[in-house]
Amino acid sequence: MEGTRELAFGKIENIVHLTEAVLQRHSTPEDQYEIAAIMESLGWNDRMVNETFGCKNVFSLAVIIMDAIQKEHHTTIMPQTKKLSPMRYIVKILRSFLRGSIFALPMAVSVGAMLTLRFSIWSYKYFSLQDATSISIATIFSFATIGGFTQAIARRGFLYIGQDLYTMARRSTYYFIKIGYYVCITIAVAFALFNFFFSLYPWRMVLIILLYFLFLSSIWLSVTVMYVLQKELVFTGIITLGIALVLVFFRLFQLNIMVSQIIALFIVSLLSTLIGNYYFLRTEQRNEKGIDPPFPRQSVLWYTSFPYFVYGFAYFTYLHLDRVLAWSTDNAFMPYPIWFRGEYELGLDFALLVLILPMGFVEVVVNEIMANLLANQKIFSASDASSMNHWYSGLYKRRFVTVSIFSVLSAVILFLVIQILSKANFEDVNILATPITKFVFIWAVISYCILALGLMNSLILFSLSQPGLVFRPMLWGLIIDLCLGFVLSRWGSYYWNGSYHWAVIGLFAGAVVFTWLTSRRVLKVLNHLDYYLYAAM
Amino acid sequence: MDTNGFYFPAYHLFRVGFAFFIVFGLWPVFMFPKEPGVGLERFFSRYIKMVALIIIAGYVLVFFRLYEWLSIAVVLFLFMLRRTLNWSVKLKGISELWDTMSVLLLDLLDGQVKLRPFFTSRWISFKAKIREGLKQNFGSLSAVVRSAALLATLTLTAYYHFADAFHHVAPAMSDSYVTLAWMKYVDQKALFHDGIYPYGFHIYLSMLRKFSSDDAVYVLRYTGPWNSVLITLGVYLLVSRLTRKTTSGIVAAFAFGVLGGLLFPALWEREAASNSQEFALLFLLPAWYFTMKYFQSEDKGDLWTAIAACAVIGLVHTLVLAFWGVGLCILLFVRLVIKFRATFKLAKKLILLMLIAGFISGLPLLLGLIAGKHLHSASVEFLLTKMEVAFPIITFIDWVPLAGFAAFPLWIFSQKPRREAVISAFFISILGFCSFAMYYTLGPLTSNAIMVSRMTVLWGMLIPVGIACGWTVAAVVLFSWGKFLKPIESLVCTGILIWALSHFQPTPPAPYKMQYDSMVEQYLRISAAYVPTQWMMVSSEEGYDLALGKGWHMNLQDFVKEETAFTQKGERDKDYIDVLNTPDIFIFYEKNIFDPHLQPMDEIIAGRIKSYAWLSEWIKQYKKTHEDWSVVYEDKDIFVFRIHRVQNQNKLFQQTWGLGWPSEI
Repeated sequence: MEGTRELAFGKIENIVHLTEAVLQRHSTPEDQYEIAAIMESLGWNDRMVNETFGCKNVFSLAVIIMDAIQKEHHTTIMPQTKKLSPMRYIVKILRSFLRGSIFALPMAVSVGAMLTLRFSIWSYKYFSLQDATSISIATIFSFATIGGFTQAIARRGFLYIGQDLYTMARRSTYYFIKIGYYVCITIAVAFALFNFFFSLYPWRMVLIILLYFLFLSSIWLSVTVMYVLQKELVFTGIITLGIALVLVFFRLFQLNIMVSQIIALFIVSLLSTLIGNYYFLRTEQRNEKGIDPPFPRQSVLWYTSFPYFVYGFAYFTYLHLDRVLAWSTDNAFMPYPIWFRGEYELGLDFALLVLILPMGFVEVVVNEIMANLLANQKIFSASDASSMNHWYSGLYKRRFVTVSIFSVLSAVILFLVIQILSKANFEDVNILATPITKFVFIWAVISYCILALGLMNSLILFSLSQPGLVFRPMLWGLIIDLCLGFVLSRWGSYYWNGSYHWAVIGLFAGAVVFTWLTSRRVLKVLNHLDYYLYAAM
Repeated sequence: MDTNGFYFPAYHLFRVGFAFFIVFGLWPVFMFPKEPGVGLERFFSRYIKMVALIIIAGYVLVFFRLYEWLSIAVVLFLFMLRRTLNWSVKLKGISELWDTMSVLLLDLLDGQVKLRPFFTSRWISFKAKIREGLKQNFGSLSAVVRSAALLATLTLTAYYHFADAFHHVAPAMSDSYVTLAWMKYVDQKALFHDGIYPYGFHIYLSMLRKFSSDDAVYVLRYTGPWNSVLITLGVYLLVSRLTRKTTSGIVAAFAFGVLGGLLFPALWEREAASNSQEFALLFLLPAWYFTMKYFQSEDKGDLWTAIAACAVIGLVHTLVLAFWGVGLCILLFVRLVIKFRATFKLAKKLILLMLIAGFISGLPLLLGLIAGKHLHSASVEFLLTKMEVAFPIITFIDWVPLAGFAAFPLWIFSQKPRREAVISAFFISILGFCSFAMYYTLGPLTSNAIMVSRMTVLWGMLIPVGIACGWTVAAVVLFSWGKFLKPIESLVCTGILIWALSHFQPTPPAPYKMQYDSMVEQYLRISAAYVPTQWMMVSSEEGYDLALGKGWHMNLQDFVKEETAFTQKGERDKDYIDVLNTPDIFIFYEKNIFDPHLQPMDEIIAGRIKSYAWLSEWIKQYKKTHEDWSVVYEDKDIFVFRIHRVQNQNKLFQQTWGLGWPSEI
């Protein structure tokens, strides 16, 4: 065997590991070509094979591994799916649920600070309209800019972490973070230049927009690192620290609220970056073993991350688009192209709370479907694949109905709580006092409930490595939101007594389209699950 | 704010100019990529089509209350797609384009595609084009002289027409305030606010304002003079192509752009202002030119340009449309007489499309009437005003172009193919005489105010053409005996222009103003420094047009009637008095009341004298009893009295979250 002669002494052990890894993917490979395909799917290429094992290419190593497998007859016992005890099952569900809804924890801390201290890390109860506009624009800008990067970072990060490739995960994460910073700086400079030529906003507002934009973007990037490393609680702690810093600067040192917040944002973004880096390095030291593959080519990295990137951009833009449309409706005299409208914002802010419980439940459902998928498929024989597909389609439909019911319940509870708080004039503010806030709140609650279903679909499709089936529906949702929201806000403003808040119908329509399209795609995938499982391998 | 310096006007001129370049210079290149002709012809062809598209799109979007920067951009983008992609395969085309772009990007990331060679090749081809252009325009002595003369003429035209806008920030003439307000009404998606009137120019201005994002005052101030430069280019285009002589075009352009004050004073003053009529005149000569060219070339591109020009003129100014119709009839008549068979076939198509364009021009009127709007009362009043005038005295300035028109048919003998030259010569001569006859007779015979005032302007447009016709004949007689005389023709032409410049010493147009520059300057300062909608100005009527869409305005008379600046009448549909919560109020006080010395203003000025006397006392009393005031500006003519009311935190909170916000009144 030529390939065996090429092997350097001392690397045999690694080959054994590699063989095991191949066999974990497929216990009975057909031939050396299948082994080569599995090795490539594990991240091996000709150069790596040559550098690590001294083999000419992947195929020559595949021949060696095939030979080894044939010499040592491998048999795999069909794993029995163990049924969890009720207690462990509940604990598992609870854990998934908390993981799903934990994203809302920083938001809850922030809302708590607003209610008690009158400020948070980037909000303040008594901001002037001008300042509120600037900060809102900065926030929306930062979400839209960073949204794509967060998705790309998260998906790529999970991919590598799932294979115990922590160095790769860190490198890909920091690669996207670096690009994210470049893009943020480019956008900031472009916005300043654009404003220089077209004077959209006074320079004071532009300065606030840019400072908040850069720091918020930096924070979102750091959050993603924490998310990838499953350290959401740490991030909540950092946000709490940030609020404490604002408290110190604003109340103790009597600094201007914005100056206090900008300092706090700077410290928080710096701290979260450092902590994120620390966690990565620590996890790497603990977990990294075996191969150290080279970083993929940029084109490969972008090509594979592109659907996630587009989805992230479209999703975060979609989430904010209706308010941009509402705030840019000229129903009397618009001071600037986009002007903060508190009544609309209030409705959306409170409506967003409806997502907390359904998102936790979505996590449970997706985990339930995905975690048992590999084990469950072994229950069905190859000739009975359609039964498996049918069973999963049925399961999906049942869970769809369950999440829908859960979302409706969540909406009803939220509505009642808000009603009670409004009637009690909580914090001297009757939240639903104005018809605009009430209208926006109700429609946004409905939209977010529908969106929760769409997000469940997205997670299922992402888990089956089908991002292409998600980003297109999201783009359609965004386009529908834009077109309908634009037309209705403008017509509402003119024909229906200044009703610019009809922009929220765009949000609703976008959610319907997104959920409808992704549901169809999920059903399509589940109806051919055997094929998609093979493709996802 | 030094509005009289160089930097300030130059900065705003750059912004408006940049917007013009993007919307009407660059964008049309992608929208209308295959235009016939070269250089100036192509520019006009694209510009005319773009203006037509912008005005029609503007009307539709305003009508459907969707007129915004975003919707306009989408409409233009879709129109661009229509041109670049075949509709039947557009989705496939977009998909292919997407794939190509993706592959390009990925190759770029992998270093497969190098940017440097790409840009280098583009740069080389650009340099070659420039070199070719320079060779064409400066390749011989006569070409150098001609190009220099043309450049000098255009520079002088720009200098004269922009002089007033550079030195005075106050809008020129009373009409400009109406134009300003209507432009802002279009911005607010309101058609025919003061009655039915062609809104084409106002949509055009509004579009420029949207893309420049500058204050409407600057857009108004600079668009008028720029239109005049474009009219001059249009005159050059028609005359140089019609006479097939560059020097004739230069003479016509010089007569129009530089000697206008001497040749047609009635039009000259208006050229520094921004009015619909002058904007429509911009398209008049190019419209005739492209119609003529269509008959010669039978090119669809020329036909569509002619149709678009007709639509634009109709959408902007009805009287100019009628005058253009006179020209078209003359052209058709001459062509049918000389080339009946060839003309009849083309004319049928042209007339049909012109009727459609005419219908499109009239559609806004129809829609306005259906919407229950009345005709613009001031225009109707002007239309019905009788004015007894004597027949105008024919001066030397009239005789020169008339002589030119009379002599122009002689030029035919030097041209080949002769039949087309005969058509051109007789068309322009008959048009010149007709125009003069209309100027001479229509006013006195009809005693109609419009005929009296506007026929002078229309004849003014033909005077430079007549002079150029005279020069053409003279040049043919004197310099067509040998090629060696060509440089001499250019030198003589340039010499005559220099002599005319030194002899007549033309001065820039100086249209009258309705208020002090300092009042407009103060408005601009306030609107730049304070958050729009959060301030109010108290001033005479002109202040309303300035502040509209930026801040609140209280008429001086209302202030006197209400005896307080703290109430304001709800503007839009509601007719109630409400308290405005604007933190800042600016009272414009005229120490020396501005008098434009116009007869209709006498009564108004008398009223202002009384109002300012009362206001003076009010300010004295206010100063004694309050501390929230300051004088933010004062000069020898005016002062601006500011009242600043501090808002407490609760009010701020209510405003931010939607309670008590003044814009919701």
